[in-house]
Amino acid sequence: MKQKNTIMEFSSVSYSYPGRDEAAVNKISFSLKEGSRVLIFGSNGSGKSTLTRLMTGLLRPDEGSVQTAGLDSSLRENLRAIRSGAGLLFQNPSSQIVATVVREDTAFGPENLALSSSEIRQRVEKALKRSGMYALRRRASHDLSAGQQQRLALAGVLALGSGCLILDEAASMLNPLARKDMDILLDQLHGQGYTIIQVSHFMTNIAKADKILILQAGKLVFEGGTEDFLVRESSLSDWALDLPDIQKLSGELKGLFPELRKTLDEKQLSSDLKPIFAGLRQDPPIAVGETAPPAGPPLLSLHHVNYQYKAQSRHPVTGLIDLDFDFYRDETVVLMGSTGSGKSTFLQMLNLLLLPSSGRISLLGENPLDKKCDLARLRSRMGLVMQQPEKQLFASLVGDDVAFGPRQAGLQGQALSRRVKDALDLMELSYSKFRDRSIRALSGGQKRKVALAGILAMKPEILLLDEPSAGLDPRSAANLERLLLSLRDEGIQLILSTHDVEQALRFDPRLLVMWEGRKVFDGMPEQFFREMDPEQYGLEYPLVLRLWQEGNSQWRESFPLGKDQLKSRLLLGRAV
Amino acid sequence: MSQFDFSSNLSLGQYEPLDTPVHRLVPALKMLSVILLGSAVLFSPLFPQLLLLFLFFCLIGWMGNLKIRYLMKGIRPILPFLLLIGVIQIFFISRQLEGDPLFSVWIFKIYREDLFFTARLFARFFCLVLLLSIFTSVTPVTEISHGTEALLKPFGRKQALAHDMSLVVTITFRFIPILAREAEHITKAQASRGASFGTWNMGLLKKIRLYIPLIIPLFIAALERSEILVEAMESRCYEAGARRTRLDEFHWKFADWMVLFLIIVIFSVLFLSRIL
Repeated sequence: MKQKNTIMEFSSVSYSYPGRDEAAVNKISFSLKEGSRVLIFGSNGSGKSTLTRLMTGLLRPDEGSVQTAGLDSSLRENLRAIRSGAGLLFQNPSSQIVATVVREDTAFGPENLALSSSEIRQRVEKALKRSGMYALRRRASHDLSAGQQQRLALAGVLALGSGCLILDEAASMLNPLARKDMDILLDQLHGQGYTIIQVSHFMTNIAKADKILILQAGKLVFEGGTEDFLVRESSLSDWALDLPDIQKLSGELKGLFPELRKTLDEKQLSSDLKPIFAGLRQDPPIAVGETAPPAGPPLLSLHHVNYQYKAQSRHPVTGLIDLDFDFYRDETVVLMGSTGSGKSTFLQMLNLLLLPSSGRISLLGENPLDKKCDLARLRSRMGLVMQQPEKQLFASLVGDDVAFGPRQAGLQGQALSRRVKDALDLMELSYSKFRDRSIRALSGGQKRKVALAGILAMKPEILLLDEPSAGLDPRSAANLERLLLSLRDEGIQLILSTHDVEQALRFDPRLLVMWEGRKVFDGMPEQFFREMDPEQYGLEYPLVLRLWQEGNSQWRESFPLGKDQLKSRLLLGRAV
Repeated sequence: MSQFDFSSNLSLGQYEPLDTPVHRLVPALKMLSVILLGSAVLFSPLFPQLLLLFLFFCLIGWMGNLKIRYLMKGIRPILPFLLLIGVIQIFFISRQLEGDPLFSVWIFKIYREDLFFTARLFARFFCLVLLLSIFTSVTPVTEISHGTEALLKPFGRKQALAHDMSLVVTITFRFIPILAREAEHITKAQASRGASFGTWNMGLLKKIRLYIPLIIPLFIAALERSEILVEAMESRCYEAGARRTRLDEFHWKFADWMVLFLIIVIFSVLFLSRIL
């Protein structure tokens, strides 16, 4: 193999943001080889993003030096060469798009390089083909899905001629399908010799990495390959990181079966498990979760409901088609489906932000289509937490924002502050500490809690949640999930949508699967995975079931869904 | 009840990707036409000039394969303000008008001129909104920014003025759907927490009172967005004031010269009809 060049070299680099005492990045040194695949992990505030800005010369180090492709980033005349050689992709796909049309946006970089018109056109075409966006080249950039927007951003970087892609949390706002697409694309590009640097708080793709760097509080605490990483897994929690699911499971199974190897690779784990599955005795029949007959009349009920977006315009967009839904007391419903399947539309309709174009709807005994119905009051009985709720915080102080709902309902003075305090308590935010905090100064997880508190302050009977933990780092996501489960224990019923099948199962729900505006499944999760193909609807099998399928050709007869089910199954089977 | 759907209520700024003779005109020409025809609307009397202009715009819209009804939706949000201006003009502005009032309501006298004034006001707004809607429907932002560059070239002593202004145009339009979506987020968030957006029976005053508090969060959202955008632009080698080139170049064709000639003729005739 030919000796590869160094593409990035950090020598004891430090950087502090103006006005801050502690360094965002503190004496970091490492070097990366051309064509390698690098993963950089770190929790919030660990300095990951700062690192990517240093790599591309958006920030200049206070101390030490950064050499990108042999060029010193502190020299202004090098910046153009550095930035055209190392492209940066940001977390939010839509906010890095400059132009309004796909091909125009792709051309933005080459235009800045003052290339000739024909050269730009060639580069744009090549970049769009490479990123799979060529067919959409004339589309308006705001009409794209998040996954497509991220591909567009990638095309923009490729058109610059970059040989090195730096992705700052670039997949965190994508759904699993789009994330998988992005991974495949990155695999291809890596195969073609691109250097790929992925920065994330999600511990995914570890098996593919040539090198892993871990940052904590601005310091580089780990540098090595996957093998070294496996050995150091006990340190992860000190670094405020969580083990990837596969590694956790592999560790727990190794506790039961010492012959198993610890691994990060799903394929390897499933091939290791095969002999163990084969040695199991006849599967014990699983108790099929019989749905209890619904108690009382439905709280919510929708019949033959249709909805169209932009119904008046030239291009109406289908929202919901012929939807029937009854929701009873003591149920938890999880909505799943790919982007554009109608989940958000459905939730917003339950909150009456959208009213059916046709069909019947009855919520908590009232008919919202009756013009005498007080929609504002009815809405507050069914709190909706929208996607990325932190975007919907509109006041500048935490207390004001949480108080908005109760204040609309006429609460004042003592009663109002009590209500705000109770809501913040539920979200484990201290009233005295957070009341007068500026919302902009909060972390992502805290913002989301404040948004939830704002809804809880209205004392809703039913909580509608649209992808409650999407875009959060794993710790905040787990924390939020725990809070939601405790709310349910206190009697608030939940209807939530999620992309994450593992999360869905943890709520032990009635599962509703949507596809292109229609309800395609409504029932227990076991039944769904037995009778239908999740991939057809842009979903995946849960990890445990994926492993189980590999080892059992007759898997449909009976299968475990969660980790605990798998473990008890294995223990039972081995005992004989 | 589509009050939350700001982007679809916003017919201005929504490009229709079609291939018609109107779409194919050179951007600079489209912009020049809007300027000339727009100012013609402003100085033309109601009849027959404004009516003719309106029909001419409809013809352009038809040639551009656009739905006039949809284009006119853009006027809806300003309609209440127009009415208000009309009412103020008729009832509260003191005038010296000759002749007898047409009829009188209580202490107010309504003159023929008043009705003409109001009609003219409405007609002008209609025509302008239609013209701008057609323009934005047939001109992608790329072309607007090209057009700006072309029209500004004679004024820019340095090259950078035309370049930077055209980028400003691009980004402005990029922000329209973004802000529409932010507004949707915020109104929905407020509505789901008891604000009376999108409820039955909403009066105009109540509506105005509801929308005013949106302005500040929208501003903040826009500022935050632009901060990220600046980083994204810089990381793609943008330097303010540096020379840039263009993906597309537009060349004047015979048809463009013909249209230019036609527009100049129309403008001159209308202008002369006004001063002669």
